[in-house]
Amino acid sequence: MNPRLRAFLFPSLSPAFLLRVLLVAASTYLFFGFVCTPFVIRGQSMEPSYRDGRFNFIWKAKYWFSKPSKGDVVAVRLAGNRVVYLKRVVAVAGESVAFRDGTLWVQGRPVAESYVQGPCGWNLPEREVEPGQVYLVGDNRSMPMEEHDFGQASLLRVQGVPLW
Amino acid sequence: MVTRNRILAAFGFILLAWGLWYLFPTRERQVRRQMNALAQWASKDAGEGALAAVQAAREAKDFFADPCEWQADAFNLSGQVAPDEIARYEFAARSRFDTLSVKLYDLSIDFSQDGAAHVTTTVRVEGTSKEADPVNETHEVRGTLAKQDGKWLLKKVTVVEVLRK
Repeated sequence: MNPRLRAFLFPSLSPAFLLRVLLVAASTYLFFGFVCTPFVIRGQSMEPSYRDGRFNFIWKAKYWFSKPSKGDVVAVRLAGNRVVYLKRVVAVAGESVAFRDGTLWVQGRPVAESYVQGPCGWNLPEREVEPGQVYLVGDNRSMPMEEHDFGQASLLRVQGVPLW
Repeated sequence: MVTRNRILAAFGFILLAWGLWYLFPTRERQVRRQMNALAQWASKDAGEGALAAVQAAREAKDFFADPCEWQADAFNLSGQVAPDEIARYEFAARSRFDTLSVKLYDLSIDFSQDGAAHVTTTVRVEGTSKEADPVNETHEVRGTLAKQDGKWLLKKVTVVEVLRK
């Protein structure tokens, strides 16, 4: 075997090598734990944009220096980081939001949502998004409104965006 | 011979340490165990008979204080609830579903000055109804447990509304 290949595959356990291993392990843990966290989608609430069982990453750096804006798909944490909601921001603080016969109304105007497919008959009286909150809804509106988790959530719970 | 004795002594020491760790858990591990037992109790395998369902529902008193305060607006459940009533809810739920899997994620535990344990966790419920419809619910739940007669019992349960319609 080529000595360089052998040294690469079977390195001697020198202090420099162990330090490299430690640095790679620590940076991997920090990157995938706090910057770009892997996740698997469970459920149909974001279909057809995000399908059940698909793999993705949450890019957490997105909101380190900015806030979520309308149209963003965001991950929202619950008790911790292991389970998150994946929803779309449809309104931000201070805006009014409502559903009339399946159409989303923001600030008293209907919103064209190209990402929503299938029939929707939702009706929700107008309400205002409170300060420090964003209004989140899934793309799949073909399920009954009562079975769909949506509503306003604190900005502090927004973790990031899916990478693709 | 000396080496063999040392290995045996090290093995014995590890076994003893593990036994002490297992038999005398810290109060945090006691609460964690209780919460995991609760999740297992609420889960249901396919083909569970009526007797097993009744037996399982009766075990509610092993997990809930009398009374237990509930704040679960999403389920129209609020107020003081006795373990017998929880057992009835549990039996009704078990009879509506074919399978139920209850899992806890991100379980964190804090203790207050009065010795009560405050837990926060994400509860994920998956399964199928009797009509073969999929069940998929996720909620953040906060609970307060107090030790009564050597058992950690839930005396308050709050289902957090992460998304408020």
